[in-house]
Amino acid sequence: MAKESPDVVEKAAGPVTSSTAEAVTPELKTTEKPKPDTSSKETGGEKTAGPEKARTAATKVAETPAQKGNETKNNPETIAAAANKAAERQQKNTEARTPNEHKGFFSKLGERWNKMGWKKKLAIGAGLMVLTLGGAAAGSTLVMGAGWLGGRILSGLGMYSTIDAATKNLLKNNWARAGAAALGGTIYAAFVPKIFSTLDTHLDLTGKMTGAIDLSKQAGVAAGDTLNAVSKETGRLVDDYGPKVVRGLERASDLAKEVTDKYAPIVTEKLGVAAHSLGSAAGAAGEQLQQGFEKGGEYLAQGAGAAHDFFSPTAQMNSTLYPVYEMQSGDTIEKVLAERFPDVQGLSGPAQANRINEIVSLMRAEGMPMSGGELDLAKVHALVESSPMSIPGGATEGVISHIEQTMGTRDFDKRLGNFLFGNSIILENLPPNTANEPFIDVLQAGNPELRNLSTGLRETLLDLVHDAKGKPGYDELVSMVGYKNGLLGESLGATIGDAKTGEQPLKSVLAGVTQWKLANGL
Amino acid sequence: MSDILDQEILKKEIFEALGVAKMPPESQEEVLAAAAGPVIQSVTLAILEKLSADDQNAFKEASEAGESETIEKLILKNIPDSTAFISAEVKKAVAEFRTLFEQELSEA
Repeated sequence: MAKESPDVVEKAAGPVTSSTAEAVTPELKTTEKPKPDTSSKETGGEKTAGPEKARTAATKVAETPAQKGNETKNNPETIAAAANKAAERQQKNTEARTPNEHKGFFSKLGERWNKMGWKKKLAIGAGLMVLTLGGAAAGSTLVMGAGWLGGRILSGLGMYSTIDAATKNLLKNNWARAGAAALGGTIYAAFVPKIFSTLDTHLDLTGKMTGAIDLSKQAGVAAGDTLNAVSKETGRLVDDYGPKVVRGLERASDLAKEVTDKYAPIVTEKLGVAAHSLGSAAGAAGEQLQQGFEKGGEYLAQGAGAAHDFFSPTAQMNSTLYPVYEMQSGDTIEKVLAERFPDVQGLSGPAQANRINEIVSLMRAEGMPMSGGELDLAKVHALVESSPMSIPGGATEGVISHIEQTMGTRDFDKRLGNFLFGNSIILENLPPNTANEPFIDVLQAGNPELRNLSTGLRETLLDLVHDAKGKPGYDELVSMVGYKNGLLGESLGATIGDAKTGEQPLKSVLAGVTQWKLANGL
Repeated sequence: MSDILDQEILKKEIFEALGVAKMPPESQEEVLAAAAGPVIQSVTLAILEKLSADDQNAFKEASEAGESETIEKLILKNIPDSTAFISAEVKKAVAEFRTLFEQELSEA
């Protein structure tokens, strides 16, 4: 235990031995414990003794072993002398290992060391020794030491100042504190954290906490430094490149403006031309469309009319073949019929006159108006058709003329002729046909009664349908001739009735029927 | 456990490590104080040898200026497990001192 002395005096004596005269590092002065010196005035702190006293003390230490021999090995003076010699020898050993470039440094270190009071050296020694300890000894300091030592780290070693604090703590028998305080105020303060960390390792709980706090603090400081560095670097980058970016944008803006100024008129012009072209094209297209619509309208109108006529043979017949004629002044019924009634068209003069007379008689019998106003030729036709009167020849000429015009009758073969008039009165009148004789010739040669062609053909077809009933192809035939409810289709009837103007429908129907008959062996 | 007892245990451990446990208290302190100087010197040299040339100079300047934080940073920078290293060096130096001390004492 340190001896409490109000007059603590350090021996700043010369070397214990003279063998270190050549040493670079000043010999580490003896740590001989100061003796009470009543002649020294108490200062409340360490005092440095004069050289003379130090030498005396050193001599005393050196002489002690020789005077007392082996029996005095526990003599304090002998022990002190041995300790000093050991220290001296160790110092020399270290010097021998010290590179020349470090010897100046250690020389200054030695000078400082020698100026220290012995209590401070004692405290440092205690602190160093802690590093060599572990287990129970270190653990025993937990309560009093660890927390305090950890706190010392965080307080930056500034809580206690050097030797005074070390002395005070040492005098209070607090070695750990004394060591830490002493170290904290010296050039060896760097070792203190090592001592403390060693203590932390052994002292566990509190030490780890303080260690963690310390690490956190260090990490915080490091992070702060890093953030500062990053912030500075970012600022530098902004400073360096910001103007460049701005200049780049300005340049880009200028370029964009140049391009706009240069090409905008051209683009405008081109767009104008294009617009004009488009306008012209649109106008032309509009005209074309208009014309197309107009033409289309015409076609549609025509088509509609044709379609109407086609699908309405009766109406066509009525309106075309047998229109309503507005009787004009000077018109006679005979004259109108001769000129406008198809049923008498193609008849020769006398035959036509006779036929007209018959029709007029029928009309008169029916009470039909025959002068002034409207003459409905369709009604006249219906009247004629329903009349049993026999019309003498003359129709043959018109029918043949029609066939020649519309059906290419020179191409008709005998088979068609046979078909056309088969099972009919016409057929009965046909002469034997020779191969490939022109049909028209056959007709003309063999059938003077063709004036009843339409009626005969209709009857022939009706008979054909009747005979075909129950046979294969019946439905096809019915569909082909437009048979329904005992009557032929209007189209067929109209075609037949339209001896002059009928075109494709008659040809198609006849051709189809011919094929049908041939296919069914008829 | 009181502070006094803790301190007594600590002192006992220290003096046992130093080989002076059975000596009079005054002598124990004498020996401990004597050992501190050469131990510090030896450990300091060991640390210097671990530093780069530049850091050696920085270490010396910091030591002379008493800049403990700089010293610590240099140690941490150059010595990976500095605590273990310093502890080992201290033990080594203390052991050397103890050997020399015992020799001197036996020859006394």
